[in-house]
Amino acid sequence: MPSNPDHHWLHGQLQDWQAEGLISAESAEALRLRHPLGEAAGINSPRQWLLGGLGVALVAIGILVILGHNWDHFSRATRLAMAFLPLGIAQWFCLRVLQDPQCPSARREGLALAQAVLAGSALAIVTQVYHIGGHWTTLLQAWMLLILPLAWALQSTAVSLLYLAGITFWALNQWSLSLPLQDSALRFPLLLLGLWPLRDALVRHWAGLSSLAIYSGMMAAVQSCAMRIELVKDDAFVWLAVLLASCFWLLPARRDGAREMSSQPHWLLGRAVLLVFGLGLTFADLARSNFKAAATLIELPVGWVLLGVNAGLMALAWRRGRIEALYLAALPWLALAMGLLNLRSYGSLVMVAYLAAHGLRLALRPDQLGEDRARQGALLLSALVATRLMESHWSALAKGLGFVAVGLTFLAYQRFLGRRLSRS
Amino acid sequence: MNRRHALLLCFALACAAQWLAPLWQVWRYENILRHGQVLKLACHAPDPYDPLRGRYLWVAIQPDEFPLKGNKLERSTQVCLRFKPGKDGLHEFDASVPGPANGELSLWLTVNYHWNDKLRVLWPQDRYYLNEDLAPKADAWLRQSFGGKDRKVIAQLRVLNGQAVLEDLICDGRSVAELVRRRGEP
Repeated sequence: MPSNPDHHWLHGQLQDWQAEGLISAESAEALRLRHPLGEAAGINSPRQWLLGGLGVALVAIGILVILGHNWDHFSRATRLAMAFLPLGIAQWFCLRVLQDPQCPSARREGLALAQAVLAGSALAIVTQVYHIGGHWTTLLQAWMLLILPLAWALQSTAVSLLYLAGITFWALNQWSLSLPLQDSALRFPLLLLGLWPLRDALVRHWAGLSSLAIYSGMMAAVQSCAMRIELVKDDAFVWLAVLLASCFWLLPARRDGAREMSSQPHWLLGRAVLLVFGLGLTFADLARSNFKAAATLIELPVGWVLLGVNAGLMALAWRRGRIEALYLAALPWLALAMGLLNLRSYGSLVMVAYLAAHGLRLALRPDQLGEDRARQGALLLSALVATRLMESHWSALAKGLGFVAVGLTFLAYQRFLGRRLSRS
Repeated sequence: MNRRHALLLCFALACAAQWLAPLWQVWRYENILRHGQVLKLACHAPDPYDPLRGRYLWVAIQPDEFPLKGNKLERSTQVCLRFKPGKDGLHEFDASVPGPANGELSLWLTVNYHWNDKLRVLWPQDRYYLNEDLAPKADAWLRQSFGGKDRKVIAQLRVLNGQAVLEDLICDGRSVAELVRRRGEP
C-alpha cells in the first residue's frame, strides 16, 4: 500500500486526541487500522527511515573513524566543537518536527533517536577530552537521564526503548548491595517510573516486548538448568541462546498477525540473534572459542533437547513451505558441524562465505524474492563488509574510507530499489 | 498552557540540559587547566577499553597510600591532602588538611580505607584517553619501561581549589602520546 500523507497527519493527531480525551484508545486503534500508513512503500515509512538511518550511520561511523585517525592533532576547542555542533543541528531539526503537526511519526522517531545518540556522544567526548575518570555506567546513567525529557517532549517510542534498554543495562551492572544508594540498582524502579507518561505508546509495542520477555525468561531457565543441574561452565551459553533464538525463528506465524516480518516479533527477534551470531563468528577469535564450546553443548541434555526441537521445527517449516527460513536456521548447524569436525581454523572463513552467499542471493533477486528480502540482503552484505573492515589491520584512515564507501553503496541500492518500486 | 506548549517547554528544557551538563564539565575542567597549579606524581598506565569512550591508559597514580595518624576515616568519605615539591622533581605528601587553602597544593580524594595509621585513597584521575592506534603501542612501551629499566612515567595534574585534572602523562620530559606518535615505540 502506498504511503499517504493524510494518513500520517491523522496518525500524528490521533495520539493528541487520545491524550486530550476526545477519543478512546479503541477508537484510535480502529482509525489506525482503517487508515494504515502503508509501510511497505513510502519514503516516510518507518522501515525506509530505519534502513536509511542504518546507511547514514555507516557513513557517519566512517567519518568518525577518519576523524579519530587525526583526533590527537585537533585542539581541545575543535574536538569540543565536533561534540556540540552535531547535537545543535539535531536539536534544530527536532524543533522543526515538534512545530509541524503533520510530520510523519517515522521522521519524528528517527530524528529524536539521532538527537538522543548525539547527546550521549557529546557527553562521552567531553569526558574523553578532559580525561575524566569514573566507570562507564556513571556516564550511561547521566546519558539516560538527559534523553528522558526528550522522549516525553517528542513522544518518541524509539527514545523510550533506548532509555528502557539503557537503564536495564545500567541496573544489571550495578547489582551490588555495597554500592551507595545513588549508584545502586535499587534506583531502577524509580528510573522506570520515568516512562509512565509514555506508557500508551509502549503498550502498542507490547507484542515485540512480550516476545523479548518470553525469550529472556526461557533463556534464563535453560541457562539455569545447564548451570545448576548439570554443573557446567558458562561457555555453552551462546549456543543455548542461539538455538533458542533459532526455535523462535522457526516457530509458525502468530495467528493474529499477517505473515509479514513486522507483525511477527518472534521472527524478528530470532533472526536478529541468528544474524548477530553469524556475524560474530566471522571474527577469528570468537569463532575459535565458540567452535570449541560446541563440544560442551553436546554434552548437555538441555543442548540435545534444543537441537531436537530445532530439527523438528525445521521439518515443520519445510512442510509449510518456509524454505527461505531454513537458510538462516542452518547457520547454527553449520557452525556446530565446523566445531565438532575440528575445522576451527577455517571456521570464520566458511561463515563469511556462507553469509556472503546468502546476502547476495537475497540482494540480487528482487524480482523473485521481493523488495524486502533484497533490502535485507543488502543490509547483511553491508554488515558483513563492516565487520571485515573492523577486524582488518588497515589504518584508521583506510577503514574510515571503507565504511563511507559501504554506507554510500547501501544508500544507493536502497534508492535504486525505492525508485524501481515507485516505477512499478 | 495547552499540550503543545507544554511539549515545547519540555523539549526546550531537554535541549538546555543536554548542553548544560557537558558545558558545565567543560567550564569546570578548563578553569582548572588554565588557572591550576602543576602537581607531578609517578604512575603506572596499562591499556584497557571502555565500551562507551574507547581506548585509554588506566593511570594508577603513586603513591596511593599515606601515613596518617588520628581518628579513623570512614570508607568513601572525602579527605583533603596537601602535597609539597619533592627531591626528584615530583611532589610528595605533606599533610592532611581540613580543606584547600590559597596557594597550597591540596586536593580532595576519596578514602578507600584507613587502618593502622595508613590511609589508602582512590585517585579520580585514573584515565588518559588515546586514539585506537596509539593506546596499544603506548601500553606495550610502558610495560617495557617498567620491566627493570629505570624510567618513570609521571602523571602531570593541574590542581585548583581542591579539584584536579589529568593534564598529561610525561616520560623523559616529554608527553607519552607525543613520544609514541613520533617514534612508534621509543
